[in-house]
Amino acid sequence: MNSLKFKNPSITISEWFPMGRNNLLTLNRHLGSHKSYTSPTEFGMEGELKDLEDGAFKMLENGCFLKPIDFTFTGKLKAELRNSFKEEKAKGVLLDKDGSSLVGICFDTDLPIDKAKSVIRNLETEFTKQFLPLLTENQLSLLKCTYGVENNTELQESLSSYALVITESIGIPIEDSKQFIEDKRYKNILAPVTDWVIHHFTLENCHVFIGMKAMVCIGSNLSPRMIELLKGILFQKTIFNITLRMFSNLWVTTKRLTTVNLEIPNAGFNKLKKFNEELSLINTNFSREIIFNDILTEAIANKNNEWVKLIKNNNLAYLDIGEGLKEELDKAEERELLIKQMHIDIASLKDQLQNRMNMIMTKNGQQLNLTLLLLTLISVLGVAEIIGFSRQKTIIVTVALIPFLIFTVRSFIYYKKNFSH
Amino acid sequence: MGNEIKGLDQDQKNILIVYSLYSNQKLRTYLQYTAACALFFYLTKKEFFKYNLNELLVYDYKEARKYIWESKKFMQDINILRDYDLLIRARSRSRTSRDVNAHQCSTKGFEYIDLHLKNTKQHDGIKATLSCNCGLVLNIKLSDKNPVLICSNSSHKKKNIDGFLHEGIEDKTDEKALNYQPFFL
Repeated sequence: MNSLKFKNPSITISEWFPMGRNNLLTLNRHLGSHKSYTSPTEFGMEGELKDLEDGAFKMLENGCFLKPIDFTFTGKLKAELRNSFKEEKAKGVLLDKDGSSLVGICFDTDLPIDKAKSVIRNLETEFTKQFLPLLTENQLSLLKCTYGVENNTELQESLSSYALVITESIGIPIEDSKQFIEDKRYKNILAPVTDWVIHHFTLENCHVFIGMKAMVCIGSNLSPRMIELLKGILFQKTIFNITLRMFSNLWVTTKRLTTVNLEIPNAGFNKLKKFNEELSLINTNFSREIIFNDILTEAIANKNNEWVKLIKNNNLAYLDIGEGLKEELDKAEERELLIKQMHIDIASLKDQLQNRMNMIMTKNGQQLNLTLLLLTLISVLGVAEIIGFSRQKTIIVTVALIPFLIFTVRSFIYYKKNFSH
Repeated sequence: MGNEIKGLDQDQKNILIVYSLYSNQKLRTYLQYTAACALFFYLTKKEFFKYNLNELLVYDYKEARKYIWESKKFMQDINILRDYDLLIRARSRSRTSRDVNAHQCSTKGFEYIDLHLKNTKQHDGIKATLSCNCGLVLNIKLSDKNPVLICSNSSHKKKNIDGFLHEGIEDKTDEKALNYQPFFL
């Protein structure tokens, strides 16, 4: 079984980025998609032109090269992607306003199933490395806070993607997907690529196996309907992985808030200051996550409309293809509520934090007052001793100090009552 | 990639020479398109090109949109050089804006120059015009009033590129002489 191969496969990696019509328009405009250039444009070079006055300038690293094939300004971009200007091999890139970002390659040779896994991994890594520099700072900041990472390098490693392998055959005759997946000999054959297969179906002589990490479609001459169906599933599975990560990140933050809540009563001033900064950062990130969630929800709603039409018009509701995007919309609503709740928790924590900080500041102030009063008394008596006051003068000075003494004692009692543990 | 080079006209060859002085694929150096327009405007005035000096374009000049010189023939020539892979178009980030349009002479472009243009009268003439007496190629700076060619060795040696920037197009049409009526769509 180890020698099984995908025959003439194509591999598509799917990612989702917060795109929208404006970002896509800007990308198309800067790429000159409407100008039908025959030569690619370099994008995403590392570095920046520091002073616009400099006519000639130097960049730190090369970017990637994009050559548009088809586009609508605010809707989509289909382009060839190359690592270098003269590279013969190009990858196919499809971007749309709803954030669906696909990169694909196809082979005219057979590809062992085990090898396919590493090809997918390399393609994912390369795509994120090339594609992230094309995004604006706003898009990147949304992604970073959603994935809970601090820089672009960490982001490259954190992005969730989903893969689709389309192959003419795997060298085993397949009647239908159910029979294949239930056959003990074949059950785990695709697992190196797909991970656990959770859904499968056969349609138009194509056998589709939908796993947690990738799906495999075995069949040839795919109809436009079949391709649309695969695209729809690809989007769903990509979103599924992303929302899983989003929720996981929210959970980590909830956990952190609980820890902060427990530590506030016993924390010193410096630690409280750090908590305060951390809460402000979490608050800002939540605001970004709300925006990310909104953009994602709108994209899901748009794709869901297309999906519902596709399924309804083709009577495909019977297919075993998972929950669909309606579930994702419900999950998005839940996330929104959770984020709102956490916003309230943060506000409450900030109040607690402020009270505790005020208390410590007052305590410190009282400590200082007390120390100053005691020092004053000692100084006055010391001066009296040095000057050599007579007994009468000393009594007069002492009497004059009585109000100070009373105030010191009162301050001490107040301090003990309010601040000592 | 890249079409077979079927013969470049003199303007196209000269463009390549200029880009080879200011950019390099291997060194990742680029020339801003606005700066390039200024250079070609200057060289057209020096009669290295036959471009029409009266054509204008609204384009980015640092952070502002201004009327600058750009001949359509020049724009077409750039694209022809790109079609032959002699020139690379790039969009770079700057500190203050997302995209700056720029180009660079490709490795193939340098090879073409070495084979066909090196030591020609045009090559040496352009290089001499864009160089300081000390031998260095002059930097092109997009100063507020106008672009300036300046030597990095001796900053007092400046050549202003006058007439490149326009605050606006002077409309010499006499509206009163035109006969028009109200129009409602």
